[in-house]
Amino acid sequence: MPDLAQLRDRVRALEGLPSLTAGAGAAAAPLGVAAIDDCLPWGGLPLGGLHEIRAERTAAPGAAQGFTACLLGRVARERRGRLLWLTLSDHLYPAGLAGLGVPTERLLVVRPVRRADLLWAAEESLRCKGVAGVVAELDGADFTAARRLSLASRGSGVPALLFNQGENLGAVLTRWQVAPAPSETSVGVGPWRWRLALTRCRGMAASIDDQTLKWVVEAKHAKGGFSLVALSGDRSLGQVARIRRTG
Amino acid sequence: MPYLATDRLAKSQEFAGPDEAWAVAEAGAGRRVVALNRAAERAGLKPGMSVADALAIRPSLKLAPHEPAEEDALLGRLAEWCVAYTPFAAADLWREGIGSAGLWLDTTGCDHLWGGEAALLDDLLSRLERLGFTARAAVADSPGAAWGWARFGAGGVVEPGASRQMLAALPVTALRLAPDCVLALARLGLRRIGDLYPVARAPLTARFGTVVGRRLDQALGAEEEPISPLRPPQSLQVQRRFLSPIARAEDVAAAVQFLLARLMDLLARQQLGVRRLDLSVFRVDASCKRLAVGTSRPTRDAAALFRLMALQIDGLQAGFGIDSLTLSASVAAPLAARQQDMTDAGESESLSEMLDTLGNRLGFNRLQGVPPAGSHLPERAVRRLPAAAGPFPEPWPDLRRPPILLSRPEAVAVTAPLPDAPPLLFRWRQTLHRVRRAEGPERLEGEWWRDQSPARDYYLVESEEGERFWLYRLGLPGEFNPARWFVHGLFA
Repeated sequence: MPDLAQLRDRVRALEGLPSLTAGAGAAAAPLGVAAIDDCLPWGGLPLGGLHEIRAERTAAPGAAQGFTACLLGRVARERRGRLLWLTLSDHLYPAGLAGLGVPTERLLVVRPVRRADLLWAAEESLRCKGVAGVVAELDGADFTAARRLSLASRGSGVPALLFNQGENLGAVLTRWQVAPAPSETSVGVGPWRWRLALTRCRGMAASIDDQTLKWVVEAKHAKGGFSLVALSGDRSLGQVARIRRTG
Repeated sequence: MPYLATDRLAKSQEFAGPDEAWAVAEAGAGRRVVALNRAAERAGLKPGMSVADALAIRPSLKLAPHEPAEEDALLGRLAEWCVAYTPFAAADLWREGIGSAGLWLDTTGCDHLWGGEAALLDDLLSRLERLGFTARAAVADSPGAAWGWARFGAGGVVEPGASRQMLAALPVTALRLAPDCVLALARLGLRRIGDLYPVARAPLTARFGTVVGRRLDQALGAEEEPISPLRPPQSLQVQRRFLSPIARAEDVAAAVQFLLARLMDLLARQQLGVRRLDLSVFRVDASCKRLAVGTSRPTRDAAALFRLMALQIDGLQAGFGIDSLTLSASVAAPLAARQQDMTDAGESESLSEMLDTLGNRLGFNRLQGVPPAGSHLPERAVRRLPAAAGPFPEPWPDLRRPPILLSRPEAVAVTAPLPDAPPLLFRWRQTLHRVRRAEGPERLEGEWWRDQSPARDYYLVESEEGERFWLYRLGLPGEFNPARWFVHGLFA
């Protein structure tokens, strides 16, 4: 039914989601892991929109921060321009970001003093097309603030990675929960491993929206990106991919 | 301004009533009176007398502490306010023994705007009086002559060429000489400035140094004496005065836009772009507020500059209203006619515009590029450079470093089987971590050319939950007993 497909596309365009019929490759940054990319309706991390990254335990923020850096590295491959990392804290260490695949020569660290300034700065930078990607470290934000960020990001196509330690944000396209996982190697400490859970994903068919998709991934040192180690979700990938194709 | 110190206090409302005599005195033992108000002067008190003497003459005398820094600051603010009369205004700070504090205004080329020098003086004095400041003023050929005439003469306008004759009758103190110098001159019978005219220079210099001759020349205009204005002369400046004061933010914004357009015209003619823009807002209550915006590269984009200004205009308090606005490009740099580039000029321009916006609100030092610094110590390995300087293509050394480095390493209690072995378990932030895997040590010595800090042995450890930490032991194995361990970073 072509009419229905067109109508669906229009609705999805209004919702800020990619078209199902037209190729939507350029608007997303693939994560480089087929199993995850296939689960995302965009074929990767969509660029114009908010992505929330949460640590499973706030006392252990390292893994979530590392995953955020990895995503920023993936985004940087797709878009030209500077990368902005907004944080209130002073413990962000760029030498460590380089090992996670962030091109630090393009990185600018923005350190506002007040929380309100950080949200304002995030919105300003998301409006700017010359920015490749924005990371903001938050401790929650009300719905209006999140909505403003979302509008700014959608208008310019600059992706926003929100590393959030507070309440869940609204208006996000994806929400990732990250926990560290023990590494595997014969001697010393192996490459970083994380347990990922995609706890929210807009545009995924309603039947699996509340389901949780889980993976264990391993970061590739210095090269950026990661590889899949294990699936721990109870849903088979084939089924998810099929749902995506049929819309 | 003979009563500046006491006028300042009168404004603070603590000392009501003009008839009450009060004085400003130094703190500490053997206190001396520094300044008096008019009522106290009428009672026969004099600056320089001891507080005890003054109280003996006038027991009801009220005393206030002497705060020279506050007075200087007030004078500075008044000088800024005087920029409304002339761009060359400066504060003449109070110095022990030499006259009273005052203000310098170079009115050359400005007096006709006020209908002559006399009218300018009238306007200035009446405004100051309404503000509660007693002031005397003089206009003369040279700053030195005006200084003397305002303090020791009748005040008012000294006609061009008349300085020599008018000053002749004034005491030599009017030459800005130190008290001991005045006393020595008096011993020679040289009490009036006129007495100095016929005296030969050479013996005068031999006895007093060059100061007397120089002050005399300066007063008579034989020697140039530049006054150092508060801000450098600016040609890239536009001003707008208002017939009646404005207060609404919209009106201010409209006026600023008007001024911006004129300033950009001015800059375009000289092929300049603005790097720093200063807006001076003169309020009717004689206060002056300055707003400044900076840009990372020269620009003539009035709309973008207005957006930067608008952030601050919103927070501007108009008070009783705004008299006039002055907009100046205090830092300008060459900017050739706009270059057309089809590729990515638009993007980089919008980027630098955005960085300007952020920098003006957050402070430019809060936007940092982070290239490696040539240091192996983790806390010194990152340079922080202004954002506009980048991008920074230097690569990082291929080492395992954490994305989170605590700004201050946190001490932890550790159980390690051997002095040079990684820990088995450690307690950090009230949580016990059992170490499952460890890597290290990576020994980082202190930088001997800076300080003698002990070496650190860094271990990358992974807990049973999979959390990865960067721990170090201070000193060589066994150097400290018990060993001191710290958490320095969190790995991904």
